[in-house]
Amino acid sequence: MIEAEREGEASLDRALIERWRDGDQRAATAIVERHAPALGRYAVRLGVTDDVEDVVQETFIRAFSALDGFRSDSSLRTWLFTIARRLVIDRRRSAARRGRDVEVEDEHAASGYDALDALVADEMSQRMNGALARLSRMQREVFTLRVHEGRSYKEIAEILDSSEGAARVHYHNAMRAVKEFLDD
Amino acid sequence: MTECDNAEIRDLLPDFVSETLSSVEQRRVEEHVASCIACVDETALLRAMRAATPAAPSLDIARIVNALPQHQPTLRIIPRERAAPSVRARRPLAGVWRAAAAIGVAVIGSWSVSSYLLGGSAQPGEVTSVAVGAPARDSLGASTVTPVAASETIALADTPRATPASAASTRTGASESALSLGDLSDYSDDDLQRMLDRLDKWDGATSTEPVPTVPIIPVTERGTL
Repeated sequence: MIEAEREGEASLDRALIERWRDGDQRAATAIVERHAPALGRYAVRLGVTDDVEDVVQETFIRAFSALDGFRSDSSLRTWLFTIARRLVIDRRRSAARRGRDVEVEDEHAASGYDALDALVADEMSQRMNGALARLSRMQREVFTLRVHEGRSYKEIAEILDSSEGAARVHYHNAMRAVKEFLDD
Repeated sequence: MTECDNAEIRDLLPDFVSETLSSVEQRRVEEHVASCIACVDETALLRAMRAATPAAPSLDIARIVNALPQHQPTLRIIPRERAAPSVRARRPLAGVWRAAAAIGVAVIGSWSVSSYLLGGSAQPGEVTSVAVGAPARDSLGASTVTPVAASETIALADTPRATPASAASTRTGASESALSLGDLSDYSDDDLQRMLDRLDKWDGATSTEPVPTVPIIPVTERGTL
């Protein structure tokens, strides 16, 4: 996908949002259909296991509740990823408060990621996921967004509320750590 | 696994693998990778990572859509320049025409009044000049005009000239149709007495009766008809 195509995608999103603002509910369906699969994958990457659909649904509910204030400075998908990430963090924190899950720190986030093993079958995939599981939470999020979702450093910085420079450093550190794990 | 020294190319490798680069950049990275063992390895690793991406979980799109909030239209402030053009904007000369009409009315009105009041003082062929302003009367009853700039003075060179005769006829015609609210001298003693009687009977309370009105009496130049 080249830049022109990405701009075309953004234009389509803007047009759909405008139609939804004008009362066209079919535009809402089109928006969900376009972005729900990627959001589902991202939720899985963030360690969500049982209630992926709930996370995706809640993400869209939050997004549509605030869609009037959405500025087109960033792409809709980047914005949705930002909402989903905050939502997952909130759910982890509430779960930790309830004592069901203490996964807030990086180590625990890594163990939650092990659930991906069930989604991949071959040994190579398991090794890749094992390598990712050893990364810090921030490294893994940056790496996932960069490699699996094809986001730019600028978009990653928006999603993670960080800077482009920090995103770049996290990515290269993650890549080094993955190579070291696979070389062992 | 070694690492390429070209940091710029390493930065672009994920985009190269996901094919999000422009065609020019894609070709540039491709040429570099073809001659760089470290980048070949890293590219292979990135492809394997992408292949290990979990399948998208099955989602019930209809359920998600049904849970979405309905759009509540909100009032949006539309900048004036984006709003529909106003009548004023569509007719930019309306103000000019309005001002011209006001000046015309003032000129004609002033000329009529001064012609009526001056009578024979207007000189044939010259008539007068009038000003846009409130005319005042001097002690002799002659019409004077407030001094104004020359540009505000309009010579009525092309208008019908007022002559003493026409002015007099105008004044006579005007007096025939003029009405006056009158003063005490216009009323007879009987009329005044009747009004006083009514005032004596008036208790000051509000009444649904019509308020006594002063009769309008047609007058001539010197008195009632």
